[in-house]
Amino acid sequence: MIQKSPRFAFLVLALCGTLPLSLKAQGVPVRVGEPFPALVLPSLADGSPLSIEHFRGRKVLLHQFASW
Amino acid sequence: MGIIQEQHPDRCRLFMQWKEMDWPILVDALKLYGVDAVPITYAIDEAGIVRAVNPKPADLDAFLERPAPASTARPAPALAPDLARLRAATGAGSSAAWRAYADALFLWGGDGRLGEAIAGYERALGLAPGDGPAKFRLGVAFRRRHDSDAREPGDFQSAALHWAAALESDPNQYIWRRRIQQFGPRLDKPYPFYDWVEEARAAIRARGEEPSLLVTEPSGSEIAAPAERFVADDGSTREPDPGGRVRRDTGRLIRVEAAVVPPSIGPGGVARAHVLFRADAGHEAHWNNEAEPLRVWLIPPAGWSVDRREARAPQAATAVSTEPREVQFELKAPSVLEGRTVEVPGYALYYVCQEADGVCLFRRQDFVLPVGVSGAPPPGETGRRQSRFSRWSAASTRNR
Repeated sequence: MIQKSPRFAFLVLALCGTLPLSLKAQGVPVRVGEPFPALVLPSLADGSPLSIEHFRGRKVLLHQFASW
Repeated sequence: MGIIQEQHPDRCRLFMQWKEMDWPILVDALKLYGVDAVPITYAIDEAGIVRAVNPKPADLDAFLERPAPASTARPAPALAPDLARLRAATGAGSSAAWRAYADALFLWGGDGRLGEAIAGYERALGLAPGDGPAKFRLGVAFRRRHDSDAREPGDFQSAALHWAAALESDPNQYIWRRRIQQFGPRLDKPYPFYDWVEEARAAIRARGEEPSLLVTEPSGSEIAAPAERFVADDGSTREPDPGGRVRRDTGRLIRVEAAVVPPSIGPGGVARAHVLFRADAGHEAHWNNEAEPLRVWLIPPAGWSVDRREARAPQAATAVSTEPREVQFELKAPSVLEGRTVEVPGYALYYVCQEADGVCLFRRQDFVLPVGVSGAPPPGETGRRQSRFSRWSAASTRNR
């Protein structure tokens, strides 16, 4: 179920695969208590630049996954 | 929102359509974000601070109830980087600058600038040969170019070589390993990667929608299920042209390209060979689909096994066509391997027509599948990477 509210951005339902979890980082690290790295990457929808910064002011659940 | 790290993000678009997921997705094909594995979920507050990783229900409730920080000022909208500025920064001669420039070219330069991205990564690696992320990203760029109209011969094999080199530098990199497994043999697969595609398309059509188009259809290796043992060909298939009497395609109406994944194996190891066929546009070559389909025959050296000696590519429904065709084989090495590279020969038989109303010919083209021997330097990796890889890949299709 996807819920939307002034405070809450998106709720992710499905997890893809049965894959191990890891907090170890290479490249740009991600750590609790620190800002989520605001890399600018192409949007899947239309290739336009997009970043976590677009959602500043809202709570976000961010899901890193793969369709395989 | 989501972040995906797939080689083919268009497949994720189809997946999202199938599952009716409509939130924003960032495409991180280069794996710029520092995660070793997926899936991972982050709870991020209004100020952009990570508050939890893989939150349990109680953690999620607490996160949602957490008051917003005092300051949640919105920064300026994100923009793609200035390529000219990044190019100028490479003048300092650092590998990091070249890698950053190559990243930007890949992400924002379009298919037409993939060659520059590849050159940028090669410059970065020339300065820092041990840079595993650069090797992986170079592989991603080669494969992206292989899937584009800007493709050059050998791109797919170059991708596999660099992915393998990256994984060798850090075997803990889950995404790097998955990339090789995606195109590799069934013995090395954790699961079928894209066997859901046809189910997704059927479900979408049942809803009255048109499925999102894919840039590249998943190949055999990408939908194959894992296997626990290698099953060798039983030798019952009859060789189609044992005497080599079929005339050769000396005019190269059909271009043949081979890629082996992984590019190197050890004694008893298994690899997957991808043999691709493209009609040469310069000769206006096209397939004749009213005759026998493309047949590919392998001649494994002594001690080597293959899952099948012969493969046939499906025909298009029209009388003539120009689509690329691919067949795949799995090869198993003997228990004793010597040398740096073993060549597994084969040949293709096909009906090809030249020009719009030209003559249709039955032709043969010979090729070799170059398989590296683990422990020896990979084929082509002896110095200047790009030119050597290209020469090695070109050698894979020389006539015999």
